[in-house]
Amino acid sequence: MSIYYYLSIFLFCLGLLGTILKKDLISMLLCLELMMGGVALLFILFSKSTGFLDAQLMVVFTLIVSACEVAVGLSLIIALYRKKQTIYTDDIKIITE
Amino acid sequence: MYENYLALIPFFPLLAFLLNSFLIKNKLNNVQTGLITFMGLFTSFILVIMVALHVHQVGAIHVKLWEWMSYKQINFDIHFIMDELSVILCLMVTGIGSAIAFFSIGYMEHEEKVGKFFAFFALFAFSMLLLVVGENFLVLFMGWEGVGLSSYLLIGFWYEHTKNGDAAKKAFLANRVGDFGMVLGMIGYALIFNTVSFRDLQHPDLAIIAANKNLLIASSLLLVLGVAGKSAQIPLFIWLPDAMMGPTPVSALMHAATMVTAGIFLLCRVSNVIVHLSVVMDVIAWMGALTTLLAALIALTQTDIKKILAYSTVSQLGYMVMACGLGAFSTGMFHVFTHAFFKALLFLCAASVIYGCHHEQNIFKMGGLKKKMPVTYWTFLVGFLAIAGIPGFSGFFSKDEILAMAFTNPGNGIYLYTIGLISALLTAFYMMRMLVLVFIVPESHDVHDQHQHHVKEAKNHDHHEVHESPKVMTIPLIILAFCSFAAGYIGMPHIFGGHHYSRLIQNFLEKFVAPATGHTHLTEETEIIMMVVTTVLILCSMGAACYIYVVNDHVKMRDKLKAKFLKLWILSSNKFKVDELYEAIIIKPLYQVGNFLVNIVETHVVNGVVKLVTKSVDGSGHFLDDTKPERLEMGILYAVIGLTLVLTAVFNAFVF
Amino acid sequence: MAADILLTFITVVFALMVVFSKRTVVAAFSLLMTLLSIAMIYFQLGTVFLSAVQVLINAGAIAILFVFVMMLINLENFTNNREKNKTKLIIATFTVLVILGVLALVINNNIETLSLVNLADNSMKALFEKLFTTYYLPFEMATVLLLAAIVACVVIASHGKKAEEKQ
Repeated sequence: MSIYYYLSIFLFCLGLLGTILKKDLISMLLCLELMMGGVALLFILFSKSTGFLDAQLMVVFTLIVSACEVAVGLSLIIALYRKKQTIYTDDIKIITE
Repeated sequence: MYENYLALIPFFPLLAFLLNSFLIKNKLNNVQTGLITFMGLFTSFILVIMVALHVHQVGAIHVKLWEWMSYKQINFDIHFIMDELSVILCLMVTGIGSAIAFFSIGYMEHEEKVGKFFAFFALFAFSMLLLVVGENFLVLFMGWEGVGLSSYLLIGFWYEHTKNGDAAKKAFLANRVGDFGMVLGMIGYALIFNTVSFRDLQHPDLAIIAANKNLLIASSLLLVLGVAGKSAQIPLFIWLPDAMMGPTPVSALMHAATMVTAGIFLLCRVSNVIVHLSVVMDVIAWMGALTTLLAALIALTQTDIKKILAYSTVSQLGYMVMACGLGAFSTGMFHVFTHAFFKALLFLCAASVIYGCHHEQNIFKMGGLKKKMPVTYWTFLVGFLAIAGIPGFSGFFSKDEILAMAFTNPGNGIYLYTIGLISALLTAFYMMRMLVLVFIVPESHDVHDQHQHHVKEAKNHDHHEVHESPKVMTIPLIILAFCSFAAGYIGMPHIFGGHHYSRLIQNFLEKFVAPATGHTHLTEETEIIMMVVTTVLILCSMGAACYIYVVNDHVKMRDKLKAKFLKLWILSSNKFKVDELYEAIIIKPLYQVGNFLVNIVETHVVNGVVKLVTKSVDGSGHFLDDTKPERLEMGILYAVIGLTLVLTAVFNAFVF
Repeated sequence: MAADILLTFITVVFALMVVFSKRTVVAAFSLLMTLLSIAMIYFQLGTVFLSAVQVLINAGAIAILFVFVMMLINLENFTNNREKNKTKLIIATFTVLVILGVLALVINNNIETLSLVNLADNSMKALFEKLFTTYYLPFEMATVLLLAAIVACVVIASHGKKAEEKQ
């Protein structure tokens, strides 16, 4: 059972790696979701080990927030696509202009 | 009560300095500023006389002003002492100082910025008095530095001419080298004896001396370096002839009578310690002897009236140092005492001559002043007889005693005696030469032509004839002449003794300094024979000078002799190339080192470091800048890197 | 025991596919499968309700949303042939490995205290009791948050449309 701990942090780090390495925004968001999944798993495990049920509720709320965030993020990507016709971060010079 | 007088003695010149420099600026004319300084010095003189009489009856007195700091057992405090040694020098400083101040009132009458001159004069008097009444090395060193500073200020008084400024710098730098030795020597003494006070050094513990012999020898040799710097001995005498660029009363006061004797004063202060170190005594004696000879040789061919007197001073200082090196400290101080009078007199006469001849200083252009400046001539004659060592005048007694001490000294005494004797003959020769050329020889025709030129340039002189100096200048001359005649009679040798005061000075001094042991070896007849021999030889050399310069036409004789001894003449008149030697050995390499540091080290190394820093910052900025197109990703990366750092920092507690 | 390892293995495989696949659509579907396998892990741990919630929201809504958006922006036309930045790769890998290592060490040291205890009261009833009493405020605020998110999405996504139509 304790292998799940390692799994959760593995998922978290994998998601982190993907967020850094990927060049298009949608993939970045995908990897972000992966991170969230790993964290949620960790919370559940903590709930199981300490016997508090509060952590499971944390997971619920985390899930809700994550859903909102993905929705807003994707709509932003659509808007950006409409403006710039691209979703790759190479071509987006937001700050300099 | 006398302690209060003692504390006040340095105060009056200080007051004069403050008044002249800060409080009353440009509101007094030249005479009044001079009077302030003169009054300050004269008041101190009266105080010194009172304290001196008291000390003669009672013994040494001292007063502690305040304690500055103390380190372990060593107390550094401002502490004045008036013991037998200080009394002599205080009398000299204040007495001769007052006379010269009075003289300067007349001499500097037509100059500008005279207030500054008298302010520095008073500052010098204050520093010198501090030096003399200092009870420990600390106060002495304060005075030591102060006189060096005043010397610098006064030599470079007419600093508009670059040469004067250079001479002042040279004096200060040479003094500085001496100060370096002096400070290290002081520290050595403080470490060894655990005290800086001279009262404690008066009776040193022989066990301590034996235990730290090498360190003590090294410290004493460093002190001797300080003496060489201040008293113009062999390695560092180069500043004294150049110091003649300053006003002549300055030369009279400092570089004849008082400041240059500070070194010998220091030697006497530590005399009780260094008597036991024969190495140091030998070094001192030989240094003095060689200086005497060298300076006398150089003075033979000088043409500037002040330079001759300057080299003569160096020579006489060599005598004093030699006497100290032979163990006869009281004799050395006695010669200091008599020399102060007649050298100050000679310098003031030279000042009077220069004033009268409208600032002409080349003796070959003067002549026949015997009739035009009689008072100056007669006083100069008294001083000349004193310095030459004619019996009856003060210089005879002191110089003869030094030669006697040298003769009886075991070891190298004979060589020192011969060197001293030769220098005495040379001294008589060149002083006679100076006397003759300035006063007796008929006036050369160049003088008249020069005066035609000078008339157009002179601002303040109405008449362009050579004239006698005013009374304000001649009165000090007369006083000093009397003193230089009479000063010898209080230190007469034993054979003339019997009178209560005949050996006053030596007995008085030996209450402090180490006693001289030489005279016990000398029998009466030997002493009389030596005196007679010396006198005869001196008269012969005076006669030779007369023959060369008076009897024959001096121009032809000069050329003939010059042709005969051309090499020696060149060597002598170029001051034995000592300055050039120092320049080649010390100054040029220093300049090269400086150039190297500036051109190579600074441009490449130092600037290189600065450039490295700027380049690295710039480069890292460019590096960060080059990732512009992927700004978003790099941003994420940086955030993650920061997260890593925080995690590692925070979770270390859990991990380990 | 075997169930643990099997589930872990499946999750790892799909997670790796999310990160290291070249085609974005494959990544999206792999994410879907990862989330489903995580839900299976929840089920295996005993928290049934959360497993259901995970399938519903995460897998059912979020992943599908990703697929819809990919269809909207016509992702197939894009080929990912940008130059790889080797420096960034190395730095990033190293950093992430450091993080991984730190966390793994932390867990390793505290593994005894973290050993799982099977709850007696694992039912949904206890959970909902907590939700509607202690955490009632966050519950309501989550509702408001969802409403705000909907409004935001509509505004952002439609803004561009209107601008395009005006031109």
